[in-house]
Amino acid sequence: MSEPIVKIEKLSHRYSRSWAIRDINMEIPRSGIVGLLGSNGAGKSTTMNILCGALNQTEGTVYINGINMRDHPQQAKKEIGFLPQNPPLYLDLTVDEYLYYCAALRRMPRHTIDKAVKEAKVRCGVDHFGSRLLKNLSGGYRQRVGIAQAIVHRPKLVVLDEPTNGLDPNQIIEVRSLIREIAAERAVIFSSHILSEVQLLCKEIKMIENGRIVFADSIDAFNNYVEPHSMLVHLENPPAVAELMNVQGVTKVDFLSERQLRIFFSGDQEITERLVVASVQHGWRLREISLEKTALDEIFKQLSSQKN
Amino acid sequence: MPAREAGAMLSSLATLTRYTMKLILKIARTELRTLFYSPIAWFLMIVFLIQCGINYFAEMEAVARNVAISGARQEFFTSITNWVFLGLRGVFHNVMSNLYLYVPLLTMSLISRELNSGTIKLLYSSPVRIYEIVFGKYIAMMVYSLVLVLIVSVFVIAGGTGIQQAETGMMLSALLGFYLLLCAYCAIGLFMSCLTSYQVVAAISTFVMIGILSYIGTVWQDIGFVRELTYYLSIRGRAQKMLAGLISSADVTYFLMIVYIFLGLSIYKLKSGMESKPVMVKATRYLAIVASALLLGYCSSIPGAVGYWDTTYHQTNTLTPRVQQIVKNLGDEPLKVTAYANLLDRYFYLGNPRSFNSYKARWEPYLRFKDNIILDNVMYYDSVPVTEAAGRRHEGKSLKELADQYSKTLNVDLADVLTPEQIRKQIDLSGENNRYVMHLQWKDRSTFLRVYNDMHIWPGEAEVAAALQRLQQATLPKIAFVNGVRTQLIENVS
Repeated sequence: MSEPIVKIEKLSHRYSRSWAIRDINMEIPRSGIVGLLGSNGAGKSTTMNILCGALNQTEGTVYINGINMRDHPQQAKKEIGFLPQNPPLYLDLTVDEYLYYCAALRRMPRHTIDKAVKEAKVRCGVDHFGSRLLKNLSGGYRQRVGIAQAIVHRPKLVVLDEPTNGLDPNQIIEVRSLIREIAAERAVIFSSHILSEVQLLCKEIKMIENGRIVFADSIDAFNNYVEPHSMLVHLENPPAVAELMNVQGVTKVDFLSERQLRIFFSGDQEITERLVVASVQHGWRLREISLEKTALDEIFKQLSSQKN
Repeated sequence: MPAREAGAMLSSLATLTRYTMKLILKIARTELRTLFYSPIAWFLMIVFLIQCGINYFAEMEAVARNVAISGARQEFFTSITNWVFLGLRGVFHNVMSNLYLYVPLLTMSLISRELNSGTIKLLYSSPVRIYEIVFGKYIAMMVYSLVLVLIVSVFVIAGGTGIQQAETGMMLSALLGFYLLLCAYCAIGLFMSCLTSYQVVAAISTFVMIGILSYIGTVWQDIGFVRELTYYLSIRGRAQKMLAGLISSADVTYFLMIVYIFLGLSIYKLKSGMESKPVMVKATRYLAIVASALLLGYCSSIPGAVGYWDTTYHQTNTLTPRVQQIVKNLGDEPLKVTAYANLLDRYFYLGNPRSFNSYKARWEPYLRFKDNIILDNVMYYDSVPVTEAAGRRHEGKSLKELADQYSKTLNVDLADVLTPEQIRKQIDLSGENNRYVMHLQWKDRSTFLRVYNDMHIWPGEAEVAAALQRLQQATLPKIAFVNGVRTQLIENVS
């Protein structure tokens, strides 16, 4: 059972001339959610398409459940449910017709299809929409049907490509909890360019930048990277820069306006405490203080520079 | 033990194909469902029905008018079936010539819709083989085609019950031809739909491809090997023969081959969508499909290998039994037919290399009963009677100058044309006035077969049969002409 559900070895893919992904290695455990994080165009979708057999890689090997995707695509694909970036819906069909069709495409035995479709509908909350035409559903429900088609054949691995893209905040929350539910029984990989989403959902995180994996570890390890190292401070009576630099841990001070400044620091977050104490002591009249979360781009920069 | 293993393997193979078949049918059913959920399928059916109806009733009215006018004598009728259904203005002819308008509209969305909406990824990521998708889609189209055939059948049945002694066989073979043509067009449409995510572009490409297949038979007809290929690929006239009631295995194979080519290309095109193979590999695959199909087509049209089925009541597409017998009497000895075409003659176009395929087509009815008729074509230039155009128009020019001028205008390479000296060494054609003539050789005998200055130009069955008879008779009867009142002169006239 310890064998990973997905094993990717030295995966590279080239679109005509330029490499979209290069030398990707990863393993994905049999349960839990793995987040694939990366900015737009980093290679997330390419990786996922290859993983699901929708794209044939230029180099490297993908094993699904120990089966080589290239040699036995039919067997390997049976274990996968895939939701591409745009849900692959036939808008002229009803929800039921669509899900039955998807189940048949996954080569489910006919007598099991009824139950499987029913289950998937209940799980995704589209049970009462069975006879609705897909084109009459809202974006959030379409996404749910998209997820339903990915789990209808009870695959061991579900791959979701930016599942919350284009949804409103309420729908995003719903879809997130749905993903969590699904992951209870199987491995889920999902991609996103939103850092907080990945932090919220995943146990493990793989970060892709420029077609290469720049980070792959547990979410706890990742959080260490994301720790803030700057804060916005509003002082009614700001001192000179040199004075601020005297506070232990401060590395740099930028004045944004007369009273507003950004303070960069290193080390732990106890700096906030020290800063407040110093402000009281010297009468700097601290009004506001807030930690700045590092932007994703900076983390990417940071991580890729570390890698090099 | 091995027998049992083989049995187990066979049964697992059987289950596999059963599952595959089920999946293909499932895909077909879903495709049909989508088709009929959209208004286009219904709309086309209705338009088609109306078109057939207008045509049928117009022709029926014309027949009725003629009956009324001709009164008791019922003149000018050959066959009402022919008139209403199969003739140049008949239902089938009309429907087939407008078919290229219907099919692209049906097929344009087949794959391009999937490419456009991204549902192709669902298919790619499912444990479905590409050929299952393609076959599924194609079967859906075959079923819809069948619906169109049924619509035409409504009129065929109506006509069949109304017309006395209707040519049922011809109408059935016409229906078959219609269906095969539809199937071929659908395969083309399916492939075009794989090429682009824009449905309209797919439709237009299908128009263009059908157009190319209709005109390809006329291009490069002067280049020996290519001429065979392009002429074979031409879709024009293939179904027309079935309208005339003649089903030949070569024509049926042709339609199957078109389906094979375009379905094969579709499969590889879709496969290449999920691969990044070198261009060379892809190109080789496409070429292999086309080449294997052409080879198959070539084999199927070798004279001895073609089967025929004349569905007409009176076997009007076949040589008459008497002529069949004459052809049969030639036995296994090859018959060599050499056509001599004079560049300066008005019938040179019959022997122009560009019309070699029509030359062959004219001999096809005979090839059906004797497969070793060897056809040859020789071009030369020599003098023509002054009454002929070349003689009249260009008085004073030498033969060489005339030949130069004619070869340039007719776009014929003079190097392929024999000079008067060369041709005279080969054969004496002065008795034929150097007109276009075919020289028939069989065993050690030979005779000439001429073309005529009448409407048909080409010798009819009777003339050809007579020539073949001449070959078979060791001594020809002498024909005597009585001349004058009292004197009797005998001249030898062949």
